[in-house]
Amino acid sequence: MKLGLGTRKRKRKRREDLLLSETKAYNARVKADGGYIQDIDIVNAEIKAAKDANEYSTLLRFYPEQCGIKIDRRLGVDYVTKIYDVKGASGDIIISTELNQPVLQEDGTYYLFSQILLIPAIAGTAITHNITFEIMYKPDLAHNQAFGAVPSQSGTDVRMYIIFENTNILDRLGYMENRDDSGILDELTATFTKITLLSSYSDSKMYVYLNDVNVKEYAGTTKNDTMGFVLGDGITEAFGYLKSAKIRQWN
Amino acid sequence: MYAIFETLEQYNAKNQGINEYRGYPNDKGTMTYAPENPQQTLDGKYAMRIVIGLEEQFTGCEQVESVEYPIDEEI
Repeated sequence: MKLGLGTRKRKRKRREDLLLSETKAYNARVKADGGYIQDIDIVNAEIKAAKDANEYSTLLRFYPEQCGIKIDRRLGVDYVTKIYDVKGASGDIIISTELNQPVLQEDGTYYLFSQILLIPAIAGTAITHNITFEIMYKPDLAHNQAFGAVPSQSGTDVRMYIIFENTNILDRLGYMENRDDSGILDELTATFTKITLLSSYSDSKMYVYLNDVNVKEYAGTTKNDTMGFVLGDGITEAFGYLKSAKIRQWN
Repeated sequence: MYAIFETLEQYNAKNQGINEYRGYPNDKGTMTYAPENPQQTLDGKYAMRIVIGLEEQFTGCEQVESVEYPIDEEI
């Protein structure tokens, strides 16, 4: 009895062969610069989804989940100094100031502490920003009863407020802002598709999550722009991270 | 904790000293410790956050727990 003869040897595809050419090129650029991609399969899936939806070619900036980052390790802590744009080096988010650098977490997310995260300017075009920030805030329920979070527009920025029932005050959680190349604030609109309030039994605090922050400039803007999220002054227990961002031309 | 400086020159001098101590700019993408054009605090001074491990670099500086900045607009 002949065993094994005629049996086709199964050839396993290398993982690299399963990646899109765009993913491979992105991976090569990030590595060559000293950065790394947190999860290349997620990045590949996001690029594929954008291509399948025929939106990939329309994107001016694209920061998918778990995208490429560069880190500076200090005292055992990894700080993010760069976030790589899939669409090209001109969109890389560079955080060169130590005090502004987000802290990388074990799950691949990174936390921002009261600072701005700027997405580089795009010259001469009006753009929309479909950005998902996950922002978490922990009000102290020993003194305040949080019962709601609302976006509020004030012309040049879009602010998010926590309303405290006991004190009847509005406390600024943070805001999106949009500056032109002279540093002047431009007008914009924004919507929040999801606001989640969760209470925690472990530390008796309320957590407020803001997801899917969609920002659109008003029509007619042709200046260079930067876009970022700014945590409110004096907010010490709020943190969050840029989960993903797709930026395209306004239409 | 924050270190408080009366003038921008004092702030920048301390920032420069920490940059030299930390080896900034480095090849990891960090160019400077603190922003070079900081916003003035509510009382017209300049605040620099003190990160863990750098406390001794701020010995002799006025230090506070928190700082307030002017809020440009409220609803």
